[in-house]
Amino acid sequence: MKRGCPIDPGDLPNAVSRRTFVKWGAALGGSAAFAATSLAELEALAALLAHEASAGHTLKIRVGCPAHNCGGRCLLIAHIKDGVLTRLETDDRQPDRVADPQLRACVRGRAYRHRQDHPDRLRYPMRRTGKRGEGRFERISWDQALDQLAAELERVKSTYGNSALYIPYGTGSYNQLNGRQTAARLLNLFGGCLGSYNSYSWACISRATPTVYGTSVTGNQRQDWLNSKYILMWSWNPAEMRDGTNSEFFIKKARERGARVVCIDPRMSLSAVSLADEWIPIRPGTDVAMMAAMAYVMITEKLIDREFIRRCCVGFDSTQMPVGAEGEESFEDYILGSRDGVAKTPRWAEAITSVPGETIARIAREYATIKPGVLYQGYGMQRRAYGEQAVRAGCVLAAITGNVGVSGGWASGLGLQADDGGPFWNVFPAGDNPVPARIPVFLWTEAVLHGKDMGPEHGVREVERLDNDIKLLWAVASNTLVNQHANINRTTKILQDESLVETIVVQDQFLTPSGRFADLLLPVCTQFEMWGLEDGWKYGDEVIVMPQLLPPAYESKSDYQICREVARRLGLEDAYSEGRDEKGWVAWALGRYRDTRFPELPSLEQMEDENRGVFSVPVTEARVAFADFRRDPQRQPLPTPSGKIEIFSKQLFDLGNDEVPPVPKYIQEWESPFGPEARKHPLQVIGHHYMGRVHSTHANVDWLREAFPQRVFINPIDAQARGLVDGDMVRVFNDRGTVMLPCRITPRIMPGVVDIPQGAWWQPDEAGIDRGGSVNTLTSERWTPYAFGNAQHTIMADVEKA
Amino acid sequence: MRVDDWSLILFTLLTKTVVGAFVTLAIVHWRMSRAGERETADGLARRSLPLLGCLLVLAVLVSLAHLGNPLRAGYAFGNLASSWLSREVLLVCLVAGCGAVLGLMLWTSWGPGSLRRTLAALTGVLGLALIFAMSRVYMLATVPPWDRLATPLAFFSTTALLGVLTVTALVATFGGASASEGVRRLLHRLSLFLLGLIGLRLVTILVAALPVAGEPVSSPVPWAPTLQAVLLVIAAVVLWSAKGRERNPSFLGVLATLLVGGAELLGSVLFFASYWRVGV
Amino acid sequence: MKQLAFFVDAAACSGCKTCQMACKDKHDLPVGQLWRRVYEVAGGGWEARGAAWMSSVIAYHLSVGCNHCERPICVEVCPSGATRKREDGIVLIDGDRCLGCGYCRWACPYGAPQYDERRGVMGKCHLCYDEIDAGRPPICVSACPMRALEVGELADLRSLHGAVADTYPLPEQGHTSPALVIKPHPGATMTDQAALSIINREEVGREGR
Ligand SMILES: Nc1nc2c(c(=O)[nH]1)N[C@H]1C(S)=C(S)[C@@H](COP(=O)(O)OP(=O)(O)OC[C@H]3O[C@@H](n4cnc5c(=O)[nH]c(N)nc54)[C@H](O)[C@@H]3O)O[C@H]1N2
Ligand SMILES: Nc1nc2c(c(=O)[nH]1)N[C@H]1C(S)=C(S)[C@@H](COP(=O)(O)OP(=O)(O)OC[C@H]3O[C@@H](n4cnc5c(=O)[nH]c(N)nc54)[C@H](O)[C@@H]3O)O[C@H]1N2
Ligand code: SF4
Ligand code: SF4
Ligand code: SF4
Ligand code: SF4
Ligand code: SF4
Ligand SMILES: [Mo]
Repeated sequence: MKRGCPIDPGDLPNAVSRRTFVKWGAALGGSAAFAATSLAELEALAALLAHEASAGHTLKIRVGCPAHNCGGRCLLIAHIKDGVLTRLETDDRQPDRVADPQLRACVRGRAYRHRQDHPDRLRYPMRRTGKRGEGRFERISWDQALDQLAAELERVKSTYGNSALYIPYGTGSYNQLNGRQTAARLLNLFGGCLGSYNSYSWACISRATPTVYGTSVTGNQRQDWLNSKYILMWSWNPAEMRDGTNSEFFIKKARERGARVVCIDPRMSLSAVSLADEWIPIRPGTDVAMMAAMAYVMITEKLIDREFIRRCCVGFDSTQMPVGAEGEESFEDYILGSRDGVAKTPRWAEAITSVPGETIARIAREYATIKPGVLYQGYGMQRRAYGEQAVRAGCVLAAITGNVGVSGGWASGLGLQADDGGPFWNVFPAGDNPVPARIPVFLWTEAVLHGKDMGPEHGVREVERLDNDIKLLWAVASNTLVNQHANINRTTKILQDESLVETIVVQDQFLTPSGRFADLLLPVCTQFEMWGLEDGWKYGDEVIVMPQLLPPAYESKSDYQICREVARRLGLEDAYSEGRDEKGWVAWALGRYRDTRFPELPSLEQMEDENRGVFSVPVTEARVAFADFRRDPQRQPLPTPSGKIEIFSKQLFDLGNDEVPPVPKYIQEWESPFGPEARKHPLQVIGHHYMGRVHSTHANVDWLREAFPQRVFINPIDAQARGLVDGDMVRVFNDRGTVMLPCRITPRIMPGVVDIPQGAWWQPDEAGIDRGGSVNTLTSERWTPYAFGNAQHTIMADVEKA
Repeated sequence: MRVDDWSLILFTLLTKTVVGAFVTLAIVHWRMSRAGERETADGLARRSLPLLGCLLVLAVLVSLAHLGNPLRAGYAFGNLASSWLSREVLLVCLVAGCGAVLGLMLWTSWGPGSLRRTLAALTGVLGLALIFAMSRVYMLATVPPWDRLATPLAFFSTTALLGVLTVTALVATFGGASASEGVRRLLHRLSLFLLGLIGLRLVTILVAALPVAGEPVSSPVPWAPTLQAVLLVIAAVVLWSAKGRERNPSFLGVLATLLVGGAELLGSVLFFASYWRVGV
Repeated sequence: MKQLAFFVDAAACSGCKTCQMACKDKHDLPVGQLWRRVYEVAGGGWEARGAAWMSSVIAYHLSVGCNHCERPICVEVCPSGATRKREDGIVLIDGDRCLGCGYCRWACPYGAPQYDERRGVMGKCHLCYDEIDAGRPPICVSACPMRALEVGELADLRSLHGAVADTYPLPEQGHTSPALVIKPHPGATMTDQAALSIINREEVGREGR
């Protein structure tokens, strides 16, 4: 990497080990327990910091980046001087190699000081004074706040039962001791609450992948991409959303080793620019048409891997239909049009996708012949109307080209990293929920409005019908109450109605759009102000510790501490804490990793002593998903009903739902440029995941707003038709709402499509127009037919000069 | 327009005026002395110099406003070796210094006439050098609209025009109604001279408007350069009609002064607005 | 003579701006000051062919700090001598000597000097001379997630990566002889440069004054 670089980036000089530092503190009569929670401990910490100030040292502490739910997990080196965070550097471990690359922070990690020291940090517990959503609050004491929260939990439980309590989806923290899991653990001890499944991220891909493979663990370890000759980045933008720290770097390395990379996306994304040899703009929501046409070319030009299909798949053609579905339309039938009379030719697909037919044919030939190849599916195209179909179709292409179970190949689908039997993401034990009922996370507004009408047709699991509507929302590390959920104008109306949800509690670091609707608003410390731990986002072979750097600002507390103090009031403290503070749980969690994925993982003390920050396992030989299955499908069957790759899914066939066909099909979206709705609102709107934010987190950080301002990105052709010049203030509107923000005219988005990066804070003016530019002012609450997932990228709207 | 632009616009205009007026005054003084009107000439100089001095001090003060750190202005001589800005600053100081000494000598009637004449000549030359340095400040290799002959041409023609205009006004004011025949003749000559200078200035405006590096010289308002020329033409007409008139010559004189001053102010604004640079 | 220089792999640069932010964090730069800036360049267009959209669009990013030029015009014009060139080629502004006259900013064709309103002085990328002196790479270099930035001896970098330093939107090298080596994005070499433009103007600051 450092070719031509005469400078050898040495180790951290002057790095004062944090434990040494703590030991001085102990010697000074302070407490060695650094998770300052009690007043005495806080004072001890202040004494430590004062001592450190007098010593004039700059402490350099390796710490995991407060990742929120960012798509990466990186290492920072925090400089602390005189009790102030003065600088953030990133991973400096040497050497920086593919097997164990540095976990280099992104732009948000490097800007974190301006989130940490933001003047708008929530300082005190507050109680609502005005009407819901007005955003008027009064300061109260922690005792008042915690008493009120405990009392509300008791009240709702005794009035309605535990299933009226709900902790909405929220991804603000996965540092184990901050985040919604801390509240989940408490409510589970409290008799449970309405449960949930799915995510806003992966609803379709995590539900549809198993319909093909029986599992979502379909990915090789990423280092294996370097063995690939051809990589299709389909709706995938790792340069911006990372998808595991270093994914973009691995693709760069794969290219250096000769892989050809093609990116298929309506936008010329950062990845299309920096990682791809070719960009293919495609009309949003039409990917399955292109995939079908690719299959058509492969089948008619005999480019498919017949032998692999015969050994490992079912339902490809009429010769291998599952029992009970003999004579039904096979995948080949659909592609060739033998039943519906429509051959899925490139020409057919061109009219739908806007991709030239010859390009589709060429990509089909390339992917089928340049082997091994990766067809990597990003999640943007499954956060759409029939997101399930795109997932299944991608998997089928991987299968019929025989790219499954081989090094350098990729099975598609969710692609969770080939299993090593370990825990991932959340180690903190939330416990078992005594309330069995679970709803898909995206349908929480339905459960508020008419929970008792909800059953399997709404994706309800484990029970026939819900026995309650949601009466108490406890949002921890979540902005899904308003900003991240679809159709904000609808959601806020629901929340305003105090006869529906009776109590709303929000725990956050800022007064977010969701926080505005809180009855009780609790200030949470940042992840720099407490102990924590994280591992990779989706991928990664490391554990990163997050030592407490600073005392909690103002009166803020960790989510764990808040829950613990509520537990005390509910008589559950011992069961809740098991006697551990945050740091104790971190040590406990490290034990879990040591027992499973990483036997070599050192103790927390050792990691502190060495100021290590991260423990990682070099990947010298990347694991390959389905290698065993490919070798011997009889003896190593997949966990599908047939034991094979289900190109035709009997499970889905049995549903008898046209919107969930047993073979993947192109289905026109419910809001589409081909529908009558396009006459009124002719532009497709996507809201991609933006570099300057993690969803709505960081939306208020000045440095990041400077680097990545919130704009609606529009093609010059569409701009010209509307008389727009770059920078004009515009209105983007449909029947659900209107946002107002400046436009950026760019050829990097295809005509007919505009992009309003998701996550900007909703800021309604008196007329209800959103001046913050939150794309969810425009999105629809309609869910996908099989996964009950969010389709927030499927929107039609129009743009006009404001 | 930003504050620092205004500061520089005023600084350059005032400095050009002062230098132009000083040189004109020196020439006038020399001619009048030769024509035996030494007393009048000395009187004119004695009364004018403090005014010019004040204007120059004002110019320097105004120029400080474009510094982020005016208190460090002393460092501005720090790079005479290569910086035209450094040289400009040095020259401003030298001109001011020489001018001040000269003024003192005149006021106190100290020192031999030859010394005064030498000092006056030196001050004049330094002043012209200052205008040259000033134009070089803007002739940056990376700023094509400024880095061309049009810049010194404009600077020098402005200097001459504003200088002669100022001296004309000074003569008209200090000469008074009871002006001698010599003064009246002088005024007549000066206004003829002014007409010529306006003509020259119109040419330099035209030159400055020529496209540079294939790009038209940018102006915030497209018709502004035309306005500048029109103002000058009107000033010329006014001057012409004022010539030899007995009634209300001062009114017409003031009008012409305002027109020329306005045109030059506009020209200066346009000059700064025409900035663009190669690269990013 | 020693001359330190930057290498920028513009083909691999994603435009993520981590370099820019790492620099801002280290030097505590408020909004408005960008010692390192990332220009977003795009060109080409769209044409409808029936239902299909034919695109000839290209785009790339270019991360630019100060190029510590061999003939630095900023040093030449600076009246106070606050701007100077070190032995190793690094061009520095002495914040204690700078008048804040803005002249270097008028002149530098790379937009490197950035005015610090708070202190009334000019600041700019100093190649992290503090890190260099301590034997470490500059902060932006060690920040880049794509490993697209390097620092090294100009001659070495040239022998490794060639001598290109004037990819659009940068000016010809002739003006200041920048100590910069660029691996151009294929888009920059493919396209008629006249068709290219900076499309993120508001993010990189206005040119010049
Ligand atoms: N910087 C940043 N990184 C993040 C996040 C963030 O907020 N900011 N969030 C993280 C989280 S929680 C998640 S779930 C992931 C999300 O990761 P993704 O869901 O993959 O991200 P998106 O930006 O929604 O979509 C990826 C790409 O799909 C494109 N796209 C949209 N619709 C279509 C379509 O119909 N067809 C095709 N072919 N492409 C389409 C978009 O233009 C975009 O470039 O990112 C993670 N990483
Ligand atoms: N239109 C549209 N909408 C989308 C998406 C889309 O692609 N398009 N993507 C969806 C996806 S993939 C996701 S994952 C969701 C994400 O939606 P959310 O999970 O709501 O994520 P954020 O918006 O980041 O909100 C997290 C909140 O937690 C707060 N927070 C941060 N750290 C902490 C902490 O330690 N403790 C506490 N208590 N709070 C903390 C932050 O300030 C922030 O307000 O959004 C979804 N919404
Ligand atoms: S990718 Fe995530 S963890 Fe890494 S620096 Fe960025 S925000 Fe932090
Ligand atoms: S950090 Fe690297 S990839 Fe990102 S903008 Fe800077 S140079 Fe480009
Ligand atoms: S890039 Fe500009 S500021 Fe840097 S040395 Fe060159 S001329 Fe000077
Ligand atoms: S702003 Fe400072 S560094 Fe720049 S030219 Fe003026 S004195 Fe020199
Ligand atoms: S070398 Fe240092 S000063 Fe220069 S851009 Fe990089 S981080 Fe900023
Ligand atoms: Mo997500």
